[in-house]
Amino acid sequence: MLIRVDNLSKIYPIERGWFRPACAAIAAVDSVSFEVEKEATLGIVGESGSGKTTLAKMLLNLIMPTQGAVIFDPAYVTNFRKDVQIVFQNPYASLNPKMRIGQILSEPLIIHKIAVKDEAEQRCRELLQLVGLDETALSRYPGQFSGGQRQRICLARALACGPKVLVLDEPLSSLDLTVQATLLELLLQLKLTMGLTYIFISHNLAVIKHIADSVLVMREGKIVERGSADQIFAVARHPYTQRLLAAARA
Amino acid sequence: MKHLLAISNLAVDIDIKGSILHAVKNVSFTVGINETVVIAGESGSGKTITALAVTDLLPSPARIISGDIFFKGEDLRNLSAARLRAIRGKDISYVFQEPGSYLNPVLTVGAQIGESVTYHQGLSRVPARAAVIELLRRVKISDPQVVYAKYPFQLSGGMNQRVFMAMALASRPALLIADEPTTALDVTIEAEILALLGELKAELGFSLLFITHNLSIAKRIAQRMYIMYQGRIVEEGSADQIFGVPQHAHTRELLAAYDRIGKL
Repeated sequence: MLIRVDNLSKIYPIERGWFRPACAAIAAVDSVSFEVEKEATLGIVGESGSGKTTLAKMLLNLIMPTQGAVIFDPAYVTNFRKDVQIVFQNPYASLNPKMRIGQILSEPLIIHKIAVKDEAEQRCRELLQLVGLDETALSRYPGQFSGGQRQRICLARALACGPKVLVLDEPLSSLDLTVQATLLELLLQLKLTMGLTYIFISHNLAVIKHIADSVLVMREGKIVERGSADQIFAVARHPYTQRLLAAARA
Repeated sequence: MKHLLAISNLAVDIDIKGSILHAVKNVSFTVGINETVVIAGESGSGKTITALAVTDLLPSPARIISGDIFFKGEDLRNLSAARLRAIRGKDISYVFQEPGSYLNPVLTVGAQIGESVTYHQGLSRVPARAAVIELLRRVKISDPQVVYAKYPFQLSGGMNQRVFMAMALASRPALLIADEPTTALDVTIEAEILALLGELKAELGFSLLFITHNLSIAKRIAQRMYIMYQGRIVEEGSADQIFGVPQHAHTRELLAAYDRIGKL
């Protein structure tokens, strides 16, 4: 088992004001447990506020869980920050506007001591080619690219140091449908060639159906349904999943 | 008078620091009485600019260069500012994508809808309150008395969109222009809002110009639809025609993507 998530919760206190005790608490993620196999794709679906992104951030150890644990197979994931990468939803907010694409892509290479100077530049060219961008991009700034191109850059950055696990938090949601279709194809192809494991978070059931092997349905921080993708889309048992499917099929 | 709204050869330019972007080129379309017309296209295709140009609501670097805009037989491009203002928000009203950012955060829901009621219908304070509560009930808000006193940030996105719709319909418009009204909402809420829009349309009888990038919505609601691409209308037809026998290459490209990941 590559990832084991054990009884994971994130609880945020609701403050009444300065220096006063919290009056209540919200469980953004509430006692969630699941496992992910090597080279599989786990889809996580749910509406806004269901705790998907909080869960993603805990998987990446970007926020501390209140309770529970995320355990990666130590024999497979040897260098956590290098092997586990994330692509965020909003490509307009996740690239530093003052850095050239070349700098953005070579930063992880330098930090993880994978390549320097000429070698790093060569690697950046390969990364751009991988995600279908022209190498002239290296000297340009994020502001000079469209949303779809920026998301490709985010993807290239996440792939820079050869990760094993990619957490994709609504990576397509801000893009046009035709761009979504091309990027989805690219993700499927990269997964095959690089042997990646995906955790794919989305509210778009059609995209999940396309890419995921197994699916978790979240609502109010809890997992309300889980199963293989075929199972969930054929016979959803939980009324909430049925409602989601009905809304998407209307 | 055949059409409620008839636009012909509309062109809009945007001046970005001296370089001119032709955002809308030679666009012609019509909306009939009680008709639901959808303009679909991807981001940057010019849909929103077209919608805003109808009542000259364009942001400052954008300018209508040419074209005719006829509403109820009246030429909107040759009206005084005051007359256009009387039509905009009364006979033609808008619902936008992010209700949260279009509603005034420092006014209660009641005060905002009340403004439209008092301005356009000339009601005084007490009857205005009753009218607003009736409107909130119309958009299926279950406890209108409570919501009346709330601020937009205290309400969910779906609730705010209902409030926005109440405000837009307060003046009994002949034409409602809805620009991606459900794009920021969850799918289950989206389905509710679309159903509500359909009911209100049947009940109140207005024409609907619906702007969206979402082809499954277009398929669901359109009586007639237009596909926009790079500032032009590239195809027109009934939903059945467009989805059944798409003519333009871009329409076919859109539908291919839609078939793969746009629907279940």
